[in-house]
Amino acid sequence: MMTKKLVRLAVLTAFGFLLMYFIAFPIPPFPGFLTYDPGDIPGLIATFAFGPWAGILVQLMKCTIGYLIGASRAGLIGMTANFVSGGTMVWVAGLVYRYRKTKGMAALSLVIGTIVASLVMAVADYYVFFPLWGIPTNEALPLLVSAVIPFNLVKFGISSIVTFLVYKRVKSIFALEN
Amino acid sequence: MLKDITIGQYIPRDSVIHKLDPRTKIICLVLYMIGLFLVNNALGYVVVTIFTLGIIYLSHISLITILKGIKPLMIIILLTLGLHVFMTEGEIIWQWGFLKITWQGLRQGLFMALRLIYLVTITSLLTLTTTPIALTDGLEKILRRLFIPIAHELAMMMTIALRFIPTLIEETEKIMKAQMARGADFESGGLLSRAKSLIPLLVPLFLSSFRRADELALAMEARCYRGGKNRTRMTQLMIGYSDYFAFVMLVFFLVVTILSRYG
Repeated sequence: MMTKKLVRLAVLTAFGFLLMYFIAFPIPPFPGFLTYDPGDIPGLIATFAFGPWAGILVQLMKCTIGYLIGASRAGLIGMTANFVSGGTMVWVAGLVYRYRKTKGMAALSLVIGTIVASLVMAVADYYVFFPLWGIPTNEALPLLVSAVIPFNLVKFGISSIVTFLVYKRVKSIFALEN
Repeated sequence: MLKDITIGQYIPRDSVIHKLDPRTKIICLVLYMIGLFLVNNALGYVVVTIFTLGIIYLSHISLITILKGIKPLMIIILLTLGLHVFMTEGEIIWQWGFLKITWQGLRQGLFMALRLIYLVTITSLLTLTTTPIALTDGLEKILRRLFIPIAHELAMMMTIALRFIPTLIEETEKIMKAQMARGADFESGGLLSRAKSLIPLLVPLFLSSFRRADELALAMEARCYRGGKNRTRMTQLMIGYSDYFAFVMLVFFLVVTILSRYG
């Protein structure tokens, strides 16, 4: 059983990496360097199927592999940012969903996860990542409000919708064994 | 189409940097980054530049390859540079309408841009000179030293994930073709329709890859896999003289950067 879970999480990681690496497209009104990628979907599936810590693990490994292989244009900083946002999303969603595993709770957990992750990312951007990129403090706030927060909401929102629709159809494979 | 994409950055060369132990390289990277963030004046940046160029020279990776890695980051580097150059208050050296360039802004902008370029250079140099598998091994050893309990499981999962990537690419391609033959459209349409088109791709992919995962788990258990306990390796990682030399150089570098800031 342990080995099975280990391999499944590994496959979900590979999946997340592939989705992040190959399917990334810009969302029209936002600047070109903010691209949407569906790489958080396997992490969310892992969090629903195996619990919040498994979700975080998948996101962590996805970002590490992303960095090792050189998937992100932004290198180590970009991958760390990706992990902070994606990790928060799956962790929060997993914690809510673990409480009661119903369809309604799944939807609620995704909504809460999206909002919390966007807020956490805004704070992390303001205090950590913008200074790292060298964006001056007086410019950070307008950029945050006009681009980064709406972008993250849209990004996690889309991933949540897709996850909700996909998980409904693949959960039978987990349900059989538990 | 997907199959033609080569993943990974590793460039095989016969160099001192390639031969270093992955653990050495990871720890040295951390030390280098601490040094880089300490530097805050021109002298410090000269030292960092010389040191970085030295490493690139030793690694036998051409400067062009490194520059190519920085190219996609040009937008964000220029944005940083622009914001600093035009927005910092101070002694004005050039002014046109509301645009003004200050001496302080120019200095600050250049330093920030340089820091960013070196950060990207050094982190990609690690992945250019080390295979992902070697790095995973190195990470496992380091995590174990830090007393992180699931070090082995983490490394095992990363190795399996790395090994699964080509398999999954092949699988994705097959399913994409099958769905396209049924009239699925993956490449056009707005945001929502593009996201929606992922579903007929993702569902069969998840199911088929879980089947593969379970087969692999069964095969591993049949061969008595039971975690990292008492596991032996075909190639052992060894710390040699060049690794010690690398540590000495990095500590020297760190001392120089600290002196350039506080000395």
